[in-house]
Amino acid sequence: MNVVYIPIGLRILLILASILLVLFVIVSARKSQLDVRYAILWVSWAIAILIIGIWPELAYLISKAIGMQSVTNFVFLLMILLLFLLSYYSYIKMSKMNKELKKLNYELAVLKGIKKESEKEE
Amino acid sequence: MKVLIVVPAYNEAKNLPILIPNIHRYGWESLVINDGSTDNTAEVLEEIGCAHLNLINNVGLAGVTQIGFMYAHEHNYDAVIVTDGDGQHPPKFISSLVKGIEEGNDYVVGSRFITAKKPMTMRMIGSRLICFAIWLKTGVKVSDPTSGMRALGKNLLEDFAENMNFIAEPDALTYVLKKGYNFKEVQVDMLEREEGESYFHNPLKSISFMYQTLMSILFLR
Repeated sequence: MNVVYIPIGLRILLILASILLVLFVIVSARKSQLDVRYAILWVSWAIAILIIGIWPELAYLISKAIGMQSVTNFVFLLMILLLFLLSYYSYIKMSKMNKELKKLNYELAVLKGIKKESEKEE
Repeated sequence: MKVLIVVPAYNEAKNLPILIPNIHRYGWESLVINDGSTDNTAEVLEEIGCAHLNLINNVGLAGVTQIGFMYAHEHNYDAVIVTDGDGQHPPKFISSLVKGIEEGNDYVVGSRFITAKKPMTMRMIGSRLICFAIWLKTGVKVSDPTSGMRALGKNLLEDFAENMNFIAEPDALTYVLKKGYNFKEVQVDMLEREEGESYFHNPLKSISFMYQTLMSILFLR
């Protein structure tokens, strides 16, 4: 007997969402709007969603193992967890970029200062 | 033909004093790009007295090479050769790459495995996997997709200077093939790096590199 662990509507939604996500990412990456490294992160995520959509037994097994009552809840938890990680990752990147920007600002300011000095001397 | 040898360098203070005079001995013009090294690469470059750029931030290999392409494009070079700063690409092979460009190719890759057989090491099994992915995507059989020693003609140089969105060499190669640029492989020999440690020493980084490269080839090109 085939047991449906995730409602069929949610499964269709997951599959459609992952396909759309992959298409969006491919278009943005080809236009160089999205850095290829981030594009790969998003594509990997889309594939994970697709796997749950077409193979809900996996989600069922994991949710049973961690003691969750409903597989649907597990899917939501997974999404939130992934979003959480991705947002943390982007904060780290942002901090790194801030640091680099500060360095660039400093170097540029020093260069401009040197240029002014040499103009004065002339 | 105006040719520029771009040498990306990150912490290569020990290798550069050997490599750069060697490139100049063959009569080539070089530009070393120091990717925010934390050792004394900047001072060493000043000592050698060769043309170089010191980047303020570390931008990574892909970023450094793109900066090299931007420079070459702005200064109207006809071809650019990329040669790693770790000294594993012997300068004597530069001329065969330049010859490939002169024959009218847009992208010439120095391959280790045209006449030699590919060994069965872990790294080369990875290389075979990448070859297979490139063949799946483009139908072209390549022999050394991870080779960092390559030459770009003027058209491709302009393309890469403006937009370059790659993980590394294999997906750049896939892009070149998919776009229909003329491509050629020439036989070169590579040396083991003389000093310092390779990025791929770390198995986790190797796995991550393989995953990203294959994803990029299969989905994003």
